[in-house]
Amino acid sequence: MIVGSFPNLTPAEIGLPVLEKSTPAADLAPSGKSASSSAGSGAGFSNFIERAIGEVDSKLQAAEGEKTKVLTGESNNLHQAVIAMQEANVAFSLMVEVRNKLVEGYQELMRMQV
Amino acid sequence: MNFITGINSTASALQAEKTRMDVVAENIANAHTTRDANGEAYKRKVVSFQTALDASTGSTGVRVSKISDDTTPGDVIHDPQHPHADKDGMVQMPNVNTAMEMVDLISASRAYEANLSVARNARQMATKALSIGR
Repeated sequence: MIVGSFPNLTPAEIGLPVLEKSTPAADLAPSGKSASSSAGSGAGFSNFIERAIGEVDSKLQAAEGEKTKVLTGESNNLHQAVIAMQEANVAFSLMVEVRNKLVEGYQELMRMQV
Repeated sequence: MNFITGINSTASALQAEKTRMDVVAENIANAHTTRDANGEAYKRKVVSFQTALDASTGSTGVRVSKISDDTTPGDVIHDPQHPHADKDGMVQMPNVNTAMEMVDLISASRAYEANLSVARNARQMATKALSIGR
């Protein structure tokens, strides 16, 4: 669901606009189209990333809360705490995976011959 | 957004099985208790489960519906020295059968393990899915 919604990423959208300007790879793209696409979907994309990271963070905090409750003796739901931690773990792994794909795509672009 | 699907049902089942184990512990602990709060011999507790619909996820879990007393009569033994013996020297013992409680304990513990396996497998599936294309 998350991976599917990354159409045609440009370096600018990954959050590396400075590098894009100074590299020949960026000059290859038709300037008008690239400018409009990064201006149009840049905000949407960063919003999306922000929301995804917020989701992961809320999971981590939920896990932290459960863990604290168990450790302070407020609750004895050991399994609930472990499950919350696992959920946070999986969400974090997904986030890392998405980041890896983005960086990979960017590096692929940088390796392009001119 | 939940990546480990079905985990809420499993969590509720773990909670329910844990309650069952707690009740077995209570029964075994009171296997020789001849007086409870009502002045009678301890009555064995039995747990019953019922389905519980989690509205936020739409998944069906389980919850403890009732912890009731087992009303079958316990043994009456002859022990005139016992402080709770009646005038004929008979003592009403609790209706706890330790062997049966152990069977219940095994059953609860195996059910708990089964649910843990579900949780582990659900997590593994999510992790495996993340490694697609790596």
